[in-house]
Amino acid sequence: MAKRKDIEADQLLPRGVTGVVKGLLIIMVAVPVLYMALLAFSPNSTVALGGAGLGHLTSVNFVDMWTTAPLLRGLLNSLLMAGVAAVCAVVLGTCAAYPLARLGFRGRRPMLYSLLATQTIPGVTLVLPLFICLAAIQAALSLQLIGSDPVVIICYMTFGLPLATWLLFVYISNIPPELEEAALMDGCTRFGALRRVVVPMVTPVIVVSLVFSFLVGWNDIVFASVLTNGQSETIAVVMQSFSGAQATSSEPLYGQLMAAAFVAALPVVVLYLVFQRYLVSGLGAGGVSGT
Amino acid sequence: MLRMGEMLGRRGSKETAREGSGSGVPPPALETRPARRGRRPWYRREHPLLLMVPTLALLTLIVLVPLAVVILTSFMNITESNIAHWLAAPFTWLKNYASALTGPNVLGVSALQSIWISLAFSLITTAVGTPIAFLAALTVHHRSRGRTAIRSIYLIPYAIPCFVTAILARIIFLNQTGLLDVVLSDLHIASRNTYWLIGPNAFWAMTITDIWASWPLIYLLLLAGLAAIPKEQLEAAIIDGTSTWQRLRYVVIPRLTGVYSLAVLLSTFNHFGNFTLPYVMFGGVPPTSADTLPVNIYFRAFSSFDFGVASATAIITILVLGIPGLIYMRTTRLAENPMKAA
Repeated sequence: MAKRKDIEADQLLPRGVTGVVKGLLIIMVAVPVLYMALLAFSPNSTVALGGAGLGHLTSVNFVDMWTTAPLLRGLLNSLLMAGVAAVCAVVLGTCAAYPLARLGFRGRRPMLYSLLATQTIPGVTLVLPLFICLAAIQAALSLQLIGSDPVVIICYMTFGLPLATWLLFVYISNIPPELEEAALMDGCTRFGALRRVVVPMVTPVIVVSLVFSFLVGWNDIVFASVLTNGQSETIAVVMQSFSGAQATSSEPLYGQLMAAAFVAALPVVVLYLVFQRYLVSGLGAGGVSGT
Repeated sequence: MLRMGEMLGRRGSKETAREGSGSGVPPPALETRPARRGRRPWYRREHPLLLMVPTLALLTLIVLVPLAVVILTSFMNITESNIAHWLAAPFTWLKNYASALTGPNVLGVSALQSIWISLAFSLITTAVGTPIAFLAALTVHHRSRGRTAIRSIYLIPYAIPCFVTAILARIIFLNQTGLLDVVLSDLHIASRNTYWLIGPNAFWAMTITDIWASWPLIYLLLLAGLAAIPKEQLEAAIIDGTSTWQRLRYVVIPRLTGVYSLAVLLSTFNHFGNFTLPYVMFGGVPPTSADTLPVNIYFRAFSSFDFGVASATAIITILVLGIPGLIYMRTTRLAENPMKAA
């Protein structure tokens, strides 16, 4: 009896309605995704005529696309830049989150608000002055800064660092301080307490922050399109120009384009699905903003 | 380990400071300075606040300095020719703002028009996306067979990178050969020769795509809100003989208002700042109906190299976002208060 009531209490819509809504939503999500998969496995010529079907499927797109566009370079660049930026953001973010969570000091609140405010600003409004500054520094020092990997990585931390700091701040605040106090009592330094006690306890959160910061970098296009050049362009930029080039082509390679899109999306979708159970808490912490 | 923690709970930690720690071990979050200050010279004492220095320095470099610069450059006349020495550029004060608001950019859209496009875009996407998200959250709240799988499926549009969604949308909305035109003409709803990627339809194509891609964000937040509703309340309502609709109306919805407003704000921000979708979906040159504020800034700066006017447009964007921004910060503060008290 009790069990039956449990089920009823959680059933927030009448059974029939639930089924219909579920069905509609799944169709809504699945149709474009399956269409993408279908096109990825169809010859370019049939896609260009709008006649893709299950009749003739081929995997040739997944072979040809690597030579059509510099996809591999884009993927490696994205992996490198988003990855390094995410690791740096999480290391620095952990160091900054700890005092914010544990110590009272003047300027703490303004700092927390600034962390939140940073995430509401669209990326374009920051990349513009960054570009202006870099252009002037370049001219003054006669150095090529725009397009160099370290510059892009540092600029990528514009998103990752406030995000990681905020997430870690929220979680560290929620850990009871007794364990660290014990460590401090035993003669541990603050930094030692952070390294030996706090970090092992927040390891899952560190992983989540790493994933989030990485995804923000991977999905970015505005910083990458302004600050990278041909050698350092990320997968987003490669895909953008690949897609743009098909618009003017007489024989558009839409099959290959969809295959490439599939490859660019897959690692990210897998990451999301693996970490989906942490997504809710991360979002609830007020941290996550999109592109 | 645990016993040590308990001990600490009873006793103050100040008296038990050990040699080598140096800072006198203040109880965290209460004391702001070491208890035995002055016994050691400053360089032997511990300074935990120094941990923040790298982050603060970096954030100053990549956020605060750029913000200061963009305010400055919004009053200056900076073009391609003098950008290398822009500090010496002439001040034109509010002229940039005037030309940003009234003058068209290379796509033929002024900042004022872009504000309306961005507002309409973010409000419509949020308004349509929220009910979808709410229904979705309701369908997977209760334990049922395949719930995990369905939750994963719901997440997919959000998980796909925005640039991939934009490219996929471009293919679907293509004239004549795209899925949409094929289906609409087969159903005799519209001509197969309907253009979605140019003209006024482009706005709707972009809006529909963004609704598809972004409702899972609100869904995730609402799901968290649903999980926080005490089951006893729903059970009590069942015993009182309420219908499902009544429980929804009088128990569930009132309990979701907090998380709901947070979700609406967050999603409005995300839509407003979305540059990737219009930029990629329309092959790098968005039509006028899809020229949102971020796109407007981008083309002013990196297409016509009018950096002063672009900066002015950026400041206008920040000001427009400032209003919901303040609400967002207030909401978040309210949300974190109970945590602070604990």
